[in-house]
Amino acid sequence: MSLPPVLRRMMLAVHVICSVGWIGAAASYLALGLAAQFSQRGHLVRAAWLAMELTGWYVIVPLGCLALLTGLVMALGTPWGLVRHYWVLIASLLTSFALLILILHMPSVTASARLAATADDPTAARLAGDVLHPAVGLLVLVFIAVLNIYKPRGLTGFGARPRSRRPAPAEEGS
Amino acid sequence: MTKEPPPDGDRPAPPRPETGVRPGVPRWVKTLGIVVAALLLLALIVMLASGGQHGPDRHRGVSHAAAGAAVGLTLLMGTP
Repeated sequence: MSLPPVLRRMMLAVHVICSVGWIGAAASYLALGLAAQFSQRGHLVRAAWLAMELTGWYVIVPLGCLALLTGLVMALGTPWGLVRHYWVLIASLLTSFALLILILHMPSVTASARLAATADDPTAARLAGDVLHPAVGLLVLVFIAVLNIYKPRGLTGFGARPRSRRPAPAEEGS
Repeated sequence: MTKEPPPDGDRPAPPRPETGVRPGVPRWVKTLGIVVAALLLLALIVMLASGGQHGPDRHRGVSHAAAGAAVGLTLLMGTP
């Protein structure tokens, strides 16, 4: 299956916008997580947790889903393929893994945001932030972006096989 | 009319003529595999060392568990 050039360009544009947007949103989330971790002001910690919940569910998760979806369409609809080149395979696996961890992590963000919303200022100020998940996630996303730009060489065992094997005449007849 | 060159890296390199020899796993993939395995092991050790707790409770201040419990109790009771 090969995408027509116009559709391929459009998918590429959406993919780049979503992927880069995901990185930017993750960086913003990390800033909020750091503020919640290190600030001693209860109202700031509360605001940070509420913003992290909204940013997570309504910006980061949708961007991540779209980035993965368009990435898969791009891989399957172009000569790169999904499992032919190591960089495509690894980028897809890392993106899926990052999205899975994100979706599994978001309910705990919601729980913490609810805690922060109902706590008084001194109690909210004592809440810890969320630094490890966004920091590691950001590193993974930047690594995936670098892979996408450099496209290091290397065919998988599947990609090294001949792409189209015409059946032998004897096979055709049977 | 000059033909526009293809964008850099837009398409995969054309396949090389077959030599019958399967290419091995590239060095960068092996290095990446080692790094990822080490990081996963480290994450597992950290999770086990922290008593296996991996949920919203982690976000409560460790030295202020009582305050966190009070907030949780408030939530359970449904009073602001």
